[in-house]
Amino acid sequence: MLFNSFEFLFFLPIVFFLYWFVFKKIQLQNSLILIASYIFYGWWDWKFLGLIFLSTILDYTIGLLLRKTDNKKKRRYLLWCSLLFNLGILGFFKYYNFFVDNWILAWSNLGIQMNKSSLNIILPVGISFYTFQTLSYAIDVFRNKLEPTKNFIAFASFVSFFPQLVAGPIERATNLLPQFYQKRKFDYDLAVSGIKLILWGLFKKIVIADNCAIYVNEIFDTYQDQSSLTLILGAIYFAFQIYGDFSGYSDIAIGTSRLFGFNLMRNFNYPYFSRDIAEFWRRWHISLSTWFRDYLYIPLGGSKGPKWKQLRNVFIIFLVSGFWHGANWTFIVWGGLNALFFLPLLLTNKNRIHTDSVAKNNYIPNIKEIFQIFSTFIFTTFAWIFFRAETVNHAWKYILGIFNNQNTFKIDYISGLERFSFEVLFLIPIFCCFEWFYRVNETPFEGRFKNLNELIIILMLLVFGQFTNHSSFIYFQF
Amino acid sequence: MKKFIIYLVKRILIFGIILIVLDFSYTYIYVNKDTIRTKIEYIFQNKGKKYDYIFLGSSRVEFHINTFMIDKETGKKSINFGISGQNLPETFLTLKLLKQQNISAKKYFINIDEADLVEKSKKRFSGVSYFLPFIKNKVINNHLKEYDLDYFKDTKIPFYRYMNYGYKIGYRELLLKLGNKKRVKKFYIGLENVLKTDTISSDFKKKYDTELLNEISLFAKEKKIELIFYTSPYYNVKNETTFKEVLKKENIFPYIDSVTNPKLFKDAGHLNKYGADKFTKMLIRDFNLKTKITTTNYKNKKE
Repeated sequence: MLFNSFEFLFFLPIVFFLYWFVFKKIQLQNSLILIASYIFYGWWDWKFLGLIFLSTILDYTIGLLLRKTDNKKKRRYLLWCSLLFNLGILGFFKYYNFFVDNWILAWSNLGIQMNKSSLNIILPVGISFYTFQTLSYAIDVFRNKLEPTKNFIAFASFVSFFPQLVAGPIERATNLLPQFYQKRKFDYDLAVSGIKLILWGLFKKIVIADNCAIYVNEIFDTYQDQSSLTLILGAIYFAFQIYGDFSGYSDIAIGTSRLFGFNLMRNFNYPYFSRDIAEFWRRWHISLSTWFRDYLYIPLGGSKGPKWKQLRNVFIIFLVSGFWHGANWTFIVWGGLNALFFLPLLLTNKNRIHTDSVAKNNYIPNIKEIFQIFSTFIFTTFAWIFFRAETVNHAWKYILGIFNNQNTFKIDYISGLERFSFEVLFLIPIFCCFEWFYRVNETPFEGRFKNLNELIIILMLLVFGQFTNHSSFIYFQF
Repeated sequence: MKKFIIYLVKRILIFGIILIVLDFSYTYIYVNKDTIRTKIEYIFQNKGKKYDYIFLGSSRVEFHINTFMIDKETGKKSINFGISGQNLPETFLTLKLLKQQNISAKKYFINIDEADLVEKSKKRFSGVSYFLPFIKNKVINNHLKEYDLDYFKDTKIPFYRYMNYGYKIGYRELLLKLGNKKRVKKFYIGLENVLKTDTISSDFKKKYDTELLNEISLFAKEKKIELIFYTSPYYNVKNETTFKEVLKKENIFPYIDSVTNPKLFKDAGHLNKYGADKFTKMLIRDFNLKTKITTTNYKNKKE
């Protein structure tokens, strides 16, 4: 079920009503969340519910077994069971064909032909998200950071919690699971902030991301025929598409959770106002970045030890992060590029200099900050080309096209769509203004002009929103 | 909770008011502004016009029938009412609307696409959008009631039609109308592109249903309209036997494989402007559009 679908428009109020007015006891509320979450997921394909259930049972059991033993060897063995199972299903569904294809390609380059045995595997929606969430539980219990739960319903609800099941934020068990034990009281302010986040998220998705998507798809598909400027615009549109799409989803997820009395972690914090790549990664997909930091980067040694080890760790974290997004070399190159951009900051120990909000207490940034924001955006957008392209070759040709194609300063009439992309050139600056002037808040619906902003956003949503050409959320495929 | 429900009700009310205001504004502009952007608007603003030939159908009429050429070569008056994305129910509605607005022709040519006859295609509206600003019109409303699966949403929920069909009647189209940006008078559009690959094909395998076709024929008979059904060319047709049998049975002139040169196509289902010229010439010749209007010439030739 999509957040921006008609079904969800009915699903959410029904679950909300039952949750607060019918099932008032905590166990019943958790059971309702569990059932609602399975319906939410099963709406896409009920056959893959078995995978979530299996993952739930396994990690719940492992948690209980870890509770019973202090034997280090046994505990380690149990953790490996969880890792192997969760990463095993992830590996099979997501990476099997990638490895088989590349294995065959590697041998064929050596002159040895092998039979292709790729399988027609459907990637279960959100598998990368919920497997990482259950893994966080097993690891935290193993590290004695979290008391394993005996409450199966609470645990199953934590794994499948519908607002963030398919595209995050990837919640840490230490944050979300205890919330399932607490008695929930309806909190007006929390619920209202949830509604505002949902509205802002819908705007980002339906107005910004989906309008950009129309042009991005056409420009990337016909890059050979487009002018340099159009190709540059295509890359910028994609930067806003993916941001609007993913942060929009996260906002809706967090907002929906608040309606049920849950607090999820913030996933985006105005990343395009970052002054360097390190700051960008502290503000972009925060739940994944911190997941990798806590469960991979720090165990590898993090920023301790000799410089070469720090560099190695940075490269590992970025390449794995790239690979997490999909079984394609494009994502690995994207991760590698970000690591390269990060490198100078690490070598000069400047990777943690921008930890506050940009131009704090000022309406406009100074020249230096403008330059920093602009250059970070260029680096990020350059890397996004690889993220969006079908293959590395496609991305490379796209980049070459920026320099080689004719009519450098002409914005193309997109013949496949029979139009120019003027509305996106108008919508993106408006969106940036809202983000800039309200960057210390969660949404533009707090502080000055909050009611006017709400009205403007509703109007823009209805007038400029893509209600039929909307694409599925990009991060569902991950 | 009570406070929250009041908050929600207020928001829903504001939302509803905005929807009504937007719906009213869009509809007012579409109905009252005299700049003609769509063929449906043309119908409403050209009551009582007379033509020799009217061509109705989908994009395979809009892009295939060069009415400029017909007028030039025959000395007659023709108009292209083909609408991209339109299916047979919408073509039928266009025909009804022409009759209501007293726009007439000596002959009406209706292009029948393969997709139009695919089983259970009767209730299928994909190109309904251009009619939706005019839902107060009785002919349109009654037709939608019968054929539009989304009738309730399209006609009863304020602004839904403009959101759902934003691509066709959304703010872009509205701004162009407000800006008096007119379209070409005869509504023929010649496509520039040439088919890039000759490996594609038009694969016909489906079961067909001619119920709607028969309804159109009945309507035409009742209203004394002389209709000619035909099927435009497709590129590289495959598995067309069943479809051809249906065409024969229903007296639909089968041009499906009459053009074979890939250079004359834009894609498997559409001719480019060179193909359109060739095809239009075929129609002029086969239906003897230059002189007396008859279908017998074509039949004799085929036999």
